[in-house]
Amino acid sequence: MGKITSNPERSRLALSVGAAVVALTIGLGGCATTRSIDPDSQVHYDASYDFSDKDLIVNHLSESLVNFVDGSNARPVIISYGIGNQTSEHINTSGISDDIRLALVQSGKYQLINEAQRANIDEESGFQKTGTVPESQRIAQGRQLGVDYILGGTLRSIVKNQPRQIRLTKKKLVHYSLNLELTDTETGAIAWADKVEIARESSRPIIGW
Amino acid sequence: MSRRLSVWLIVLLPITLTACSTSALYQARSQFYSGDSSAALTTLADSGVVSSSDRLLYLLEKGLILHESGDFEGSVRELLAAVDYLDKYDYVSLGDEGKTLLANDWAKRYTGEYSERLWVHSYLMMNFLALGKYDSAAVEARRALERIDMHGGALEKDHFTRSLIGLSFEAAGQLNDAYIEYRKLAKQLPDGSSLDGMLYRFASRLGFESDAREYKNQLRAAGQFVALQSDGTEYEAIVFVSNGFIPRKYSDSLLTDYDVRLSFPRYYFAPSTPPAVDALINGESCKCVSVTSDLGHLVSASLAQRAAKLTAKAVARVVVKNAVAEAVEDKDEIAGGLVRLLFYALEEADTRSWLSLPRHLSMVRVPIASNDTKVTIAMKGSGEVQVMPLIGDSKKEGRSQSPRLLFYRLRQSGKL
Repeated sequence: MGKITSNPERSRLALSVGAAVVALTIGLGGCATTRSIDPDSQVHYDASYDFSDKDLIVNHLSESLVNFVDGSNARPVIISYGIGNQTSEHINTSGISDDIRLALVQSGKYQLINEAQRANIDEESGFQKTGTVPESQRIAQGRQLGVDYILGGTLRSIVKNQPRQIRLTKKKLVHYSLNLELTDTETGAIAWADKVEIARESSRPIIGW
Repeated sequence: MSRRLSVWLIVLLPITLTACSTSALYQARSQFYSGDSSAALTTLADSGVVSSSDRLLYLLEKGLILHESGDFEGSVRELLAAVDYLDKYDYVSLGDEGKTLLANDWAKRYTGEYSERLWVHSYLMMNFLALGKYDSAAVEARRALERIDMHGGALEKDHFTRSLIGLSFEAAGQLNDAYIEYRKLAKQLPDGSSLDGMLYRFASRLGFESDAREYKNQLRAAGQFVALQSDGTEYEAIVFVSNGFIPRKYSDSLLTDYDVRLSFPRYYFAPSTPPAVDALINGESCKCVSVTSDLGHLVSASLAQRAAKLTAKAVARVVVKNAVAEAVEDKDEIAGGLVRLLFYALEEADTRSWLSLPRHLSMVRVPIASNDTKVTIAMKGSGEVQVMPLIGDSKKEGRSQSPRLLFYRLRQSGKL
C-alpha cells in the first residue's frame, strides 16, 4: 500500500462524502408524525389480529344475528358469556362480544342481560333494603328477565410459518375463524350459528440493520 | 488523516465495540441467590441500569424474580415484553454481526438460547395459571408449542414444559388439546405408564372409547384400575417445584497458532439428582404424578444445537482479525503487533445467559379427596417438610373443572 500523504483534492472529496452521509442520516431519520385514519379503513401492519379484523367480525356476525329474528314477536332475551380465545395471541375478545351486544341492542330486536352488572345490582338492592330508601322507591324483587338464549363462541387461529430454507424473507400465514352460537336455554339446541374467517400472509426480512 | 492516527483508530475500534454484561445484572443475581428478592428488584427497578444489548436479560431476570416473589402480574408484564423483544429482533442484524467480527459476540444484542426462549413461555404459563387467566395460559401453551416446533431438538425433551402445556389447555377447558400433549408426554417419559390413570380419565371424558379401553387394560394389568375407580378426587393440587440454580456458561478456547485462538461458550456442570418430591396429605404420602426437567442439561443441549454456527462464526472472525492485523503490520509493525495482541485478548466467548433460572423444574399433581387444601411437601432425604402457599384456585375463578385445580409453588435454594 502506498504512503498516506495530505492531498487537498482528497480532503475535499472526504468532506463532500461526510456531508452527504450527514444529509442522508437526517433525511432517513425523518420526523415523528400523527394522523387520524378512517376507523372503517383496513389497516394491517403484520399478520396478527387487529382492529380491522374486529370490525369485520363484528359487522358480519351482528348483521347475521339481527336478521335471525323478524322482530314481529316478543324480543328474545339474550345473555352473553363471552368469546373464548383459542389463538396464539393475547386477544381481548370482550371487545368483539361488547360490539356485537351493542349492535343487538341498537337493532331493537333483542333484549340483552347485563351479566357484568349482576353483582352491582345485588349490592344496590341490598343497600336499598337497609332502610335508607323509601319502600315505594326500592328495586322490585323478582322482576328480572329470564334468559331465552345464551350467546357464546370461540376465536381460533392456525399459524403456519414458512419452512426453513435459503430465503431473504420469512413468510407467516395466519388463519382466524370465529364461530358464534345462540343456544336455546329451554331445549339446549343451537338455534343459530355463523362464522367469519380471515386469512392473511405476512413476510418479514431475515436480514436487517 | 495521518498514518499514525488511522492505525490507532483501528487499534481502538475493537475496544469500543466490546461490551460486557451490565454490573446491575450481576448485583441483582447475587442478591437473588442470597434470598433477597426485594433488593434484587430494587436494583432492577429502572431499565436504564442495563445496556441496550442486555435488554432481554434484564427482562428475563426481572420477570423470574417477580415470579418468585409472588408478583405474577408484574412477572407477566416483564416476560411479555421479553416475548415482544424476541419477536422484534428476530432477524440477522448486519450491524451486530459486523461488530462481532472485529471484537466478539458480547458486542451484539443477547437474544437467548433456544431453551431460554421456550422457558419465557413456561414462566408465563405458570403466572397465568396462578392468576386464574386460563385462556391466556393456553395462548402461551400454543406459543410454546410453536417454539418447540421451530427449534425442536433438545426442547422436545423438556418434560416439565410439555406437562405445563397440557395443564394450561386442561385449565382452559380445551381437553382435546390437553389430551394430545399428555399422550406425547407419556411417550417421552421413561415411566410413561405413570400417566395412564390421567389419560384414561381424559379418553373417557372425550368419548375416545378405544383409547379408554387401552388405558383401562394397562391399568388392570398393573393392578391399579380398582383403586382408580374408587378414587373420589374432588381437588387436585398442582405444585410447581423449582430447585437449585442453572449452571453458568464458560469461555473455552482452542489455540490454532501461538497468537490465534478460537473461543466457544460451553457449560460445565456437575451431575445433579432431581429433587425427590413426596407430597403429604394429612401426613400421609400420596401416589402422585411427578414430572421433572433438568434445565442444566436442556440449556447445554440447546447450546450444542448452535455449535456449527458458532464455530463457523469464530473461524470467520479469526480470518477477519488476521487480515486487519496484517494490513496494520504493513504500515507499522509495532502497531500491528499490538493489534494482534488486542485481538487475542478480545477473543472471548459470549457467556451471557438467564441465570436466575433453577436447575430443576418439577410439577407434582396431588389428588385430594376431601376439602383439605393444606398440602405439605416433603423433600426425600432432606427431612424438610413445607406447607405450600396456595397461589391459585380454579373455583375462585368461576371455573367448573372437575377435579378443581389448586396451584402451589415452592422454590428450594441450591448451590451454584
